[in-house]
Amino acid sequence: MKFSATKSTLVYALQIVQKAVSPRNPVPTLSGILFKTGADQLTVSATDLDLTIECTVPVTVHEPGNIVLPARYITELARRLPDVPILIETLTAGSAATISYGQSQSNIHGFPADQYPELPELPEAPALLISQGKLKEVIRQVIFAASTDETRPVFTGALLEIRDGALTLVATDTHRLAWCRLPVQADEIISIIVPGKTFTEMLKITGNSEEEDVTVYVSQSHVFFVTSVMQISSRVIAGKFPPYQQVIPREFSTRIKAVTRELLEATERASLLITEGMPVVHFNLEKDACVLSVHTEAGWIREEMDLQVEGEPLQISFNSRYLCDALRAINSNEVLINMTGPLSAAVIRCPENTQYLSLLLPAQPKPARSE
Amino acid sequence: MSRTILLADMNAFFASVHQALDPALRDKAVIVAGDPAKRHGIVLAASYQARAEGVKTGMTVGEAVLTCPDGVLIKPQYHLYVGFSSRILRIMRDFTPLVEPFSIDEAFMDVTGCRNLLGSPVEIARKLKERIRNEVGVTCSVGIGPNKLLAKMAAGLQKPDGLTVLEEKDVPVRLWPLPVRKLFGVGPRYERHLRQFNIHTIGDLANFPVDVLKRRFGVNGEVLWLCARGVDYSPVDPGSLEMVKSVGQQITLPRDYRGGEVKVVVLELADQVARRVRAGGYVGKTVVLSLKDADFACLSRRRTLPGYTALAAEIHRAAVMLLERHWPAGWPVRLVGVALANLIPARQEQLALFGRQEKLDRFERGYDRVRNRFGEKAICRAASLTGAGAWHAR
Repeated sequence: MKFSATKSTLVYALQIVQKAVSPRNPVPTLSGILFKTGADQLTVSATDLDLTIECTVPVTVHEPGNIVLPARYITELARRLPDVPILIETLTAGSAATISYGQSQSNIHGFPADQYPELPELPEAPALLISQGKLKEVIRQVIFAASTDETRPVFTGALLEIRDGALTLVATDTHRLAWCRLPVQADEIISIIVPGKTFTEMLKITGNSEEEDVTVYVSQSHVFFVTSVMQISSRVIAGKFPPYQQVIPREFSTRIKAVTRELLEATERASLLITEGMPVVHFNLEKDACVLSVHTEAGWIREEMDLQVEGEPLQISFNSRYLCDALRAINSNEVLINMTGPLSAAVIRCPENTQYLSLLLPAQPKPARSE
Repeated sequence: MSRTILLADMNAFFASVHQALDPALRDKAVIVAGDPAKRHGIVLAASYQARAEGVKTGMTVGEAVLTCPDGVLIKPQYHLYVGFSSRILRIMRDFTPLVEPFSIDEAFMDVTGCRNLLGSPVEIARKLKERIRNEVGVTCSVGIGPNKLLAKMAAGLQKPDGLTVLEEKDVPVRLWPLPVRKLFGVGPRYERHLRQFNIHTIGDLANFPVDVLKRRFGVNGEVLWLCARGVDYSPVDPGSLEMVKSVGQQITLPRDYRGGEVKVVVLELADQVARRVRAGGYVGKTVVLSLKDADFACLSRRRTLPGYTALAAEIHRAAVMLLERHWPAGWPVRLVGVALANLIPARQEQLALFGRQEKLDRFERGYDRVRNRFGEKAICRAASLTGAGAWHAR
């Protein structure tokens, strides 16, 4: 293998795939990055066997070939290289690469490419074509609700569903739920659970451009997100997603409309005084009056807010961290919160978008001592 | 104004309780140890007569019998000790409301405000010892100092039945020559670390540059250094034991358990822990699993849950995950412990979707009600009926 590239091209590609490297994996090649050169392009890949990221960039290929180089050394070295043309070549059929820059050289020991695990194969037919910016926005709006508790894997992912001309994403950790729908053109019916980690990495490495498209492919056990430069593939989570439609309430007795930023800031201030246990804030809602309060050993805080309250008066408590997460995800100046009593889920949505909502279950005050 | 703190430390408490209840045992070598009939069990307490023969706390029953063949072995009866302990605390509260129980057989008293009322600290200590001896029938060592640390150190200087006063000016003479291990807060591990700095006595520590200790041990380095100089600002807090920090349950198994059998025991322990946590009105966030193998090599791993719980099912699931992740499958297990830590009062509960949590909650509350009404053994999990169940043996 022999190719030359600019420093910025090399660094860009390595930084993108680095997220999938698993440095402490018992399989030594997994701590490396696979380099593959073809017709005037370089593809670098990294995988932890669940998440795989590949990035393809244009380079000048003198001799096609491939090798696995330890991520630790090659990425750090690439970042510190001078801004000159860089030539990377493997000496023999062996497992070391020489990196030449200006008058200097470096040699890094790696592994032969055939020791690298086989990467999941891209299915032939795409399932969906969607703008990158739009996909990222729906992911951002739901992924906060996914759980981190590995003992229940289904909840650590987000349901990705394509049917009836719409893409639906749903995530829940059982205490809250976020749902988003986007009209798309697709014929296939698809329903898979994508690991939360895959989506969070995707948010970090893909661009925001509306013009650039992402093609989604789905195979038996994997999902692929492909752009012009990168391919992110991920094992899907096996299991059945809970019947989320059934838990979304349709009728409400108390409705409020607030300025998102004001409600968020008041909640953040109120929760400052909570140092231990669940960060619960109380809401007292009456006709066009909302009082938000917290009482702890550290002191108390009471925030009176000017907002529209319709329907029956209500006293309800929420975990402030969950409420703040939901308010940050909503991406709208105003927020509607619809409730049905102190023990039922509140539905949070934005006035202008009927295709997004999140559910938040309240915290139930308990008597001081159980039976 | 300088404070006056007393620490009363009951001598060989569990053994003394039995001697107080049965005059025939008074001069005997009494050894309180885990069930003598079964092979598991260690010495929890030994009377001074037994200690003279060489019996030490922590020995196995077998070793104790070999060391002291005439010793009277007694199975621990915790309700007696708790009863005695609360009677002693009641006597202490007659002197001052500022009583802080420190363990089942030790308590601090702040008598700063009683000096005009009840006399000098030494007189108060004499009266206290006399009342405990006359009304409860056990002896104690009392330490008097200007803070909790010195009171505690003083009580340790003379045992049994001691009365010792330590003032700040006594620290260089009385404490500094002692090995550093004797300092409150220094265990075997700290002793080892301190030895690397050539710190062997409390005096060595007190005269060591504090910034070096701070750099090596963090805040605790400075705290230890202050302790070595007899400085301690902590107040006597009567409420310190009111808040339970963790609830745990462990069992030594009669034989080697492996694989799935261990999970049954984990479930039984999770049940007991959850029941006690609920009875106290708490919820907790951190599940701790402790295991020992046949060579008594220990392993303890903890996992913090995303939310608070008091459900056996949640505790069990986290504990099983710890077991699978950290214990080689098929490796024998001889002791299993499950605990729920990071407890807070259950003032509110985060509700959940899909009904699963509600269902578990209803199930476990029903389980509690059956046991409240018909006794702990009235109902059990089906898994406990398998050969692996350790529940019946309890």
